[in-house]
Amino acid sequence: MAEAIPFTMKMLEWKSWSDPMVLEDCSEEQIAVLEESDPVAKTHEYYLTLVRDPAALLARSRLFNAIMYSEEGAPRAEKEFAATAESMLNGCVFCASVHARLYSRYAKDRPTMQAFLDTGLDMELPDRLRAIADFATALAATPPTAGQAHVDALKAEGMTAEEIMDIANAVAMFAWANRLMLTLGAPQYQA
Amino acid sequence: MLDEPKDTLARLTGGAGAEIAAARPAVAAAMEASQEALLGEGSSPHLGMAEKHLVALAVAAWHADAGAVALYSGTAAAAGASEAEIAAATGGNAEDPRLAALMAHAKMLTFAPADSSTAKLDELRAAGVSEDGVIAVSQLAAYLSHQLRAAHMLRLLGA
Repeated sequence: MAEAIPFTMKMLEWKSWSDPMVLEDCSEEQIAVLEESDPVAKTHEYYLTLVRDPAALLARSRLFNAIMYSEEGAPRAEKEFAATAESMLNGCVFCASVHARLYSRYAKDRPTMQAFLDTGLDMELPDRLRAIADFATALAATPPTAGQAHVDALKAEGMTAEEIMDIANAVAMFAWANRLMLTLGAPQYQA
Repeated sequence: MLDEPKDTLARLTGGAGAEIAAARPAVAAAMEASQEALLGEGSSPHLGMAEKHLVALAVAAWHADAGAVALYSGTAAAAGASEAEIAAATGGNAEDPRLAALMAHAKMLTFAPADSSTAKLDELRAAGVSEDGVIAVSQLAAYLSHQLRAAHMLRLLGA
């Protein structure tokens, strides 16, 4: 059993427990799906594992990109914060590392994120981040427990219904992404 | 049925929150394309169509989502599942050992994905699931975790 890695912003790499495809054995369809999915997909074990089901990977990648990279609506930093909080709830150390770094970059606020990773979900946070974390973790629960009080807290921060939906879509996306990362492989420190 | 909406999320929510969802057409289109990719004719050939829809039914029941239980009971029947299989799946169970292994894996993904391990993947392989099938059932259960949260959110925002 490898050493357990705590929540961190250090660079991690993900190792597959399945049998990742090698590029030489990929069909033209699989290569096209990898190229559309992510700039690093052809060298990343995660994508090379998922490309065993090319239709599913393509759908996942298009939905991921439509939700996370959209420039309208909720700010990218807040979607990344929600994704990180959910990844912490689910125990996805790899996802948390990537999206904590992205939050830090987009919010220009690394200290808050480092403290959040170190302290945990109950950390005292500014009201707006608290409302996002509470909504994200309630929607991430199975079954989801997000309710009117969570929505009201976000509206009190000035969010529109569409922006709340943007945050919720990010949470839904990471319900998907966390489950793949957690069940098909594990992270290790980058050499 | 008259005027049944083609949009799967709208079928799950009875149209709640539809105006809000319409503000993000690219997301809505990608959601519907995901439904087709995971559960439609173009979905992985490494799981049976009835297997996929029975797993979806079980995941819907684990999320206590009545709308999704109704939807996937119907699609499982259309895919050839028997009444007994549909009743068992609604309780998260299956008689067939391969289907039971697929459901056990989907249950772990639903409630406790951090409990996964190489041994859990070996249980699927031992039940006759191919490596491509391992990825397909993982994608299916993970996708449903997305879909049922999107439906929950639209019901909440549309209330």
